[in-house]
Amino acid sequence: MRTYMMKDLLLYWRNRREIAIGLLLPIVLVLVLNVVFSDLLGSEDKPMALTLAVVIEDDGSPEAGRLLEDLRSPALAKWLSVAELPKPEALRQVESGDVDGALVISRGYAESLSHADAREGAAGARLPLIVKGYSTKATALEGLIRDLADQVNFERAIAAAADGDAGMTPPPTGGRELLEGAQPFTMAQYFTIAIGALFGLFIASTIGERTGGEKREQVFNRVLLSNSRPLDFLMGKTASAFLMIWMQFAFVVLVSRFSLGVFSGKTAHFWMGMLAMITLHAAALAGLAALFASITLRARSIDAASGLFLTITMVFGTLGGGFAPIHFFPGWLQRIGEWTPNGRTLAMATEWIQFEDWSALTVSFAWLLAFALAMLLAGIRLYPGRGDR
Amino acid sequence: MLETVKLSKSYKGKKAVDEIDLYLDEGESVGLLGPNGAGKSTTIAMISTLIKPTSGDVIFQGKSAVSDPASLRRVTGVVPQDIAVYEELSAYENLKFFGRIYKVDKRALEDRIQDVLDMVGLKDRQKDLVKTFSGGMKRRVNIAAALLHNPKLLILDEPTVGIDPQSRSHILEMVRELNQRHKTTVLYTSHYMEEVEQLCNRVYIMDHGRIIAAGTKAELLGILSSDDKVTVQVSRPSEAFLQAIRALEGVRQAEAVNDGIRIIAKKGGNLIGRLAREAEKAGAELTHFQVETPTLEDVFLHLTGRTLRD
Repeated sequence: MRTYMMKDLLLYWRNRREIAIGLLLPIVLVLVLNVVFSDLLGSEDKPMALTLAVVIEDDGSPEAGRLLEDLRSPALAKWLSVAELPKPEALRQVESGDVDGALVISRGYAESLSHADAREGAAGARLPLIVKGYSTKATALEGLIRDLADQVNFERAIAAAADGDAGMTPPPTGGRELLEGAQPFTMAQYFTIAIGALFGLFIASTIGERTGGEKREQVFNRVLLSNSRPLDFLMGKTASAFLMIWMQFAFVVLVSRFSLGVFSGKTAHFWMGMLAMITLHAAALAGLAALFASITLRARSIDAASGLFLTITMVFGTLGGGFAPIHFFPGWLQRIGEWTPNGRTLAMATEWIQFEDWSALTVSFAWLLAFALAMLLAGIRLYPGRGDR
Repeated sequence: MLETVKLSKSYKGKKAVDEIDLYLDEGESVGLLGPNGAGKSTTIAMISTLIKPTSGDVIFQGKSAVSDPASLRRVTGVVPQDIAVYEELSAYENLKFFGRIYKVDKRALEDRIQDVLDMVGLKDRQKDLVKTFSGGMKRRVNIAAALLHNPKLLILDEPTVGIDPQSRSHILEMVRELNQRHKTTVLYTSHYMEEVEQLCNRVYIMDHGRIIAAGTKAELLGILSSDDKVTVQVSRPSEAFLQAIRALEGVRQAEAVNDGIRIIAKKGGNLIGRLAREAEKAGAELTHFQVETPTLEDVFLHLTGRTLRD
C-alpha cells in the first residue's frame, strides 16, 4: 500500500500547476467571497426581520422585566418579533428554525447584575442566547442583546452611584458582554472552512479522474498482473487522498490564520479541535475518493464517470454551503446540507468556533467516520479484481 | 510449458475467441499473427490471467492457470499494446514502482533496474520523465517494466507499433537475445510479418477468433509451395482486366495492390503469356512482371483474404 501511496503523492507533486491552483485558489476565494458577501449583506435595503423567543427563569425581577420591555419597544418592533415561551418550546423552535434565537433570562440574572460592577460591564450577568448555528441574524441578535444588556447595566450602575454605593466607579463607556458559551463566528471564518472543505471534494473527484487515466493507459492492468494484492492499489489511493485533502485543508486554515488574521487569538484547545475536524473531514473524503476510484475502474465510460464525480462535487459543494453561505438557504435545504461531508464539517466547525465544546462534536465525528467507512466499504465492494471483465 | 485448451471468450453472446488450442514449449519463440479484431489481444489477456475465459483453460506446467493464476503470473512478464507506464514519472521511478509491486527483493531491485535499463538502452536517460521520451523510448520503458522480475515467459502484444526504425530494431534484438541467450519463452503478436519471421520458431495465424493455421515458417510456406506469386503492372489497369485474371485457370487469388496486381497461381501453365493476351483484350499491355516465391504475408492473405494491416 505504501508503494502505491508514494506513487500517487509523487504524481501529485509532479503536477505543480495543479498543486498551486489547489492551494492558492481557496485562499483567493476566501478573500473574494468574504468581501462579496460582507458587502452584499451590508447593503441590504430591507430591514432584517428577526424573531426571538424569550425564556424568563428570573421570576419577576424588575431587571428582567425591563429587558423584556426594551426588547418589545416600538423602536425595535418594526424588525424584531419577541415571544415569551417556556424553555422546551423555545429550544424546539430554535431547532426547527421557527425563531432565530432564544434568549434565556436566567434565574439570578438580577443578582448577577448586582455583583457585576461597572468595570466588568455585564460580564457577570447570566444571559445566554441560544442559536442553531452561524447566521447573520444570529450575529445581529447577539449584538442587539449585548447593547440592551449594557444599557440595563449602565442604568443600574448610575442608580447604585446615586445611592452612594461605596467604591463605585464611573459607568462604563463601552465594553463587551460575553454571552454564555458563544463566541462570534465571522464570515471570513465561515468561508475558510467552507472553501477548505469544498476543495477536499475537488481532490476526491480528481483522484477518481486520475484513476481513469491509469485505466485508460493500462497501468491498472499491469498492476493486476503483478501478483500483488489488487486492493493495495485502492488502499494506496485512499491513503494518498487522505494526506492530500488533509494537507490542503490545513494549508487553507493556516494561511487564513497567519495571512488574513482569521482565527487569531485562538487557544491551543481550539486548534486541537480544528485538527480533529480536519482529520475527520479528510477521512470522510478519502473514503469518497476510494469510491470514485472504484466507480472509474468499473465504468464503461471514463468520461461519464468523471461527469458523475463533478456532479456529486457540485451538489455536495452547493448543499454544504461551499459556494454561498448556507443560511441563505431555506431550513429544509440546510438540514439536507448537513448530510454532505463538507456541510457536516461546516456545521461542526460552526459549533466548535462558537462553543469549543467537545461533546457537541461527538455526533458529527461519528457521522463523518461512518461516512468514511461506508464509502470505503462501497469502494471495496465495487473494486474490480482480476478477471472481472 | 503452457497450452490452451479450447480457450474461448464471449462478449454479449459474441465470440471474440473461439476454442483456441495453442502451446508453447520452454524456450520457444512463438508468433501470433492476425489482422485487427482477430482476437489476439483477448487471447493474450486470457493467457496472462488478466481476464477469465468464458470456457476452456490455460494449462501452465500441468496446472490450470484459470483456477490457480498466481503461479503463472509470478513467472510471466506482459508487455501490453499500450504504453502502460506513468508519463509523469522518470524511467527509473517507473521501474522502481513496478519492481516493488512485482515484489522484487529490495536489495536486488536497484541492480535489476540498472540491468534492465541497460538492456533497453535507456541507462543514460533513466532520470528523465517518460513524457519527454520519443515513442520508441516509451515502448522500451514499457518492455523494461515487464522484465524486472526476470520472467520465464514474456508475452509481447504488438510492442513495436508506431515507432522509429532504430527503436524497433533495438526491441527486436532485445527480444531475440532474451529468447536465445536467457532462454525466455516468448509469445509475440505483431502486425509486422517480417518481425515474426525474424523472431519466431513457430507461428499461429488467427482470424475471426479462431486459429486458421499453425506451424513453423516452412510448414506455413508449404501451404503455397506449389504456387508462384506474380506481380504485374499494365499500361491501363481496369476492373475488367482484374476479373479476367481471376477467371484464368490455376489462379488462386488476384488482388490490386499499390505496385500493380498481385496474383497467386499454380506454378507453370504459361501464366505470363495468358496474362499478356488478357491485357491485350482489355486494351492494355503488360509493362512489368515479377515472379517470386510466396512469403508468409502471401500465406496470410491466402488464408484470410486480408492483409495483416487491414
